Amino acid sequence: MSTNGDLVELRLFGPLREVVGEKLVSVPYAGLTVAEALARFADEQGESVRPMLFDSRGNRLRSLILLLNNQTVDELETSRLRSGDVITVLLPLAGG
Amino acid sequence: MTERAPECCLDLRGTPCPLNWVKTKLRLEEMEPGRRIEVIVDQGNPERNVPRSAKMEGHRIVHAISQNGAVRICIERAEESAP
Amino acid sequence: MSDFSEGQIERYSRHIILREVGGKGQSKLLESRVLIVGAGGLGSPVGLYLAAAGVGTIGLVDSDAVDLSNLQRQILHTTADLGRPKCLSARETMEGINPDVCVVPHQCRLDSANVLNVVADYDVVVDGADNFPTRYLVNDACVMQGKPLSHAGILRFEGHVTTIVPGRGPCYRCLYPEPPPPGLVPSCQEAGILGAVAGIVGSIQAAEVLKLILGIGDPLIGRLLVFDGLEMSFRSVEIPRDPGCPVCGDRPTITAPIDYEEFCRLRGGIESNPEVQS
Ligand SMILES: [Zn+2]
Repeated sequence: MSTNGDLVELRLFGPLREVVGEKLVSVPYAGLTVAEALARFADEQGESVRPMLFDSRGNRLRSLILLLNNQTVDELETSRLRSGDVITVLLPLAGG
Repeated sequence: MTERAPECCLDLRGTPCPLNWVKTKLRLEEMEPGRRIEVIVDQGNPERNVPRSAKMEGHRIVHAISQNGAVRICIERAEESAP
Repeated sequence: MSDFSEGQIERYSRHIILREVGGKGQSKLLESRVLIVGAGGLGSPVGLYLAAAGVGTIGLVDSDAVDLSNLQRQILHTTADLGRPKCLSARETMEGINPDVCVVPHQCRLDSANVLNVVADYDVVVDGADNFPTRYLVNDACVMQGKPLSHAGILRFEGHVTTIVPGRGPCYRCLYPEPPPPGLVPSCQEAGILGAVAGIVGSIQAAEVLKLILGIGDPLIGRLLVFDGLEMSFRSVEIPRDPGCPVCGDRPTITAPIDYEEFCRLRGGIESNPEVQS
């Protein structure tokens, strides 16, 4: 069960924001790594969101910028989320 | 008192603000630090604005003398102009 | 004595008054050469402001003609220009604003064969393209030739801006090593764009270009500015250079311009249809 103490926020931009329908999503992911959180989010959101984060082989897209509390994350696989952390997901924008 | 003669003189009577300062500034940019220029501007706004702009850029007002409805302003170029 | 005409002194007076610009800075602008890739939503404000600022030579790359659906944001063009090549319509507008400016039209699509030649003639490049293939191509060419590049992308109410100065910070491939799979990120054509958002983001690019030419202030090197027009907020995100970057990294593997199709083939896994964005 989730409690408030578990909550981290996902800040979404671009097409991801459109598909999810929110710019800020609270999820009980504290304790997970950033990589695990992203996988969990894709699982929970389903097939409209997964291709925006992972390729067909399950590898994280290399066209994503992931930020933890507005900093680029060096240790996606190891740094554990704490309550109140904000993960930002940016996709490149092609429009001009 | 060793009053160095101004290097050049710009007659800017009839030139409105801020063009009088723009022309003064362009001339100052061409000069060596420490050299002087004399500009003649109209009384009123120009007499206030030109020295104020010059000082804001670090130049020194040597003197400003009212004369026949105009003002002769002697400006000494600052050591370093733009940052 | 500076060789400004009376008209130029008056035209550029608000620049010359700026301590950071002055006559010397204005002369630099008049002598500078900037290439704008794309005369669209971003290229329009960039072109207008650079022309007004007196950037002496402005190259414009665009192969399209003016379409009615462009006019909601592409403010270089007018209703009377419908059907005309954007390059020519833009040139008329820009030279009309400032006869000091020479606009060089490049009415073509950039590809791996021509990009180095086109970029070589300019001091600074502006990426206002509407598709990923061109964006990667322009980035790579600028890194290879050491040209500063103002990059921006827009969609709906959002915009991203950064300034790429090879050797001083990350490049576009450091940010996004690979383009997203085709069809994932919609184009403005599919998802829409608020016209004024293009204006805001393009104006930031124009300011960055002028700063680069003048050598003043802190350009957006190593920073991605993320604009959210609904929230009306800017976030600045620090982006590191990737030492393993295939173009600007310590041991680059891409050393000649490479077309998107070819790049995707090398990487594998990405299907055809590279033109999804245009
Ligand atoms: Zn790079």
